[in-house]
Amino acid sequence: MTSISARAGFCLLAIFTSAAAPAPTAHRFRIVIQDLAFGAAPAGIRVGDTVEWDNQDILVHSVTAQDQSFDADVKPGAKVSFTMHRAGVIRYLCKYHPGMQGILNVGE
Amino acid sequence: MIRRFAAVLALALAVAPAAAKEEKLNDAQIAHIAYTAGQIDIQAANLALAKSHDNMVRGFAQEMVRDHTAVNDKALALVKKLGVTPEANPVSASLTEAADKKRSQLNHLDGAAFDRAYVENEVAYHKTVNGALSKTLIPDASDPELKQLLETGLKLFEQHQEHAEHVAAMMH
Ligand SMILES: [Cu+2]
Repeated sequence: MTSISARAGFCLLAIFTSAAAPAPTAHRFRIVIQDLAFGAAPAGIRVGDTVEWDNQDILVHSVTAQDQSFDADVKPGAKVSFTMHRAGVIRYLCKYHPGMQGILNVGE
Repeated sequence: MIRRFAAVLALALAVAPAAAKEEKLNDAQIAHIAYTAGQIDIQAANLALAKSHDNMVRGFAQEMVRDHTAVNDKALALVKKLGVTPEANPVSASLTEAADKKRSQLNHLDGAAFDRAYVENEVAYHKTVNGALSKTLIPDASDPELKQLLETGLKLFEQHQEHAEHVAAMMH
């Protein structure tokens, strides 16, 4: 957690010091949950990066990795985030609405 | 029993609107049917929560209460916004009647027999409501926001059907 906030802090610093540079969002990825579906998987996720799911639906969903590396409920209007600890393809789903599925491609 | 219930529902949902096909369902009636369909599932789930000791069944029932309450709250807010008063009609009446009958049947069962009958009925019920939503309620709805909420309802009912099938498969 400390390393994430340190990196987030560094990113913020980067935004303030270099307005012309593109927003340094490389360390935190966002997936929107809407209308009983997970948004598209972001490209370029790497080990140590954080993925945040933002539930904009009216229902409670879960973000549950098939390899059990993460699992949490996320209420309407709430967010949940996990740091990726291993490279590879990680399939996840909502355990309440099993047709809701997603894939993360995590690089080294 | 379950099959007969499904048949009654299918009849209620398919025949009644078809009989009144010239005067298709209006939004006030559609809202009433959709709301009723959600309430029926909530009542069935509450019965399961009162009777079942199975964690998987209870988890499923809690999900039904949570999801259908959320959608029905949204539906109430929408009809209020649209100035539509949900209108009772023969389709929602027969849905309620069939559900009351089913609930009293379920109420006489206990333990594993109850769990099985409840989950099997959930599969059949969601399947029937999915059919009604896609064939009648969604096509007949005029207001785009109502139509959209019904489409969300359809996706939700499909997911619940899948989940119920999964729970049923785990029990056999
Ligand atoms: Cu879900």
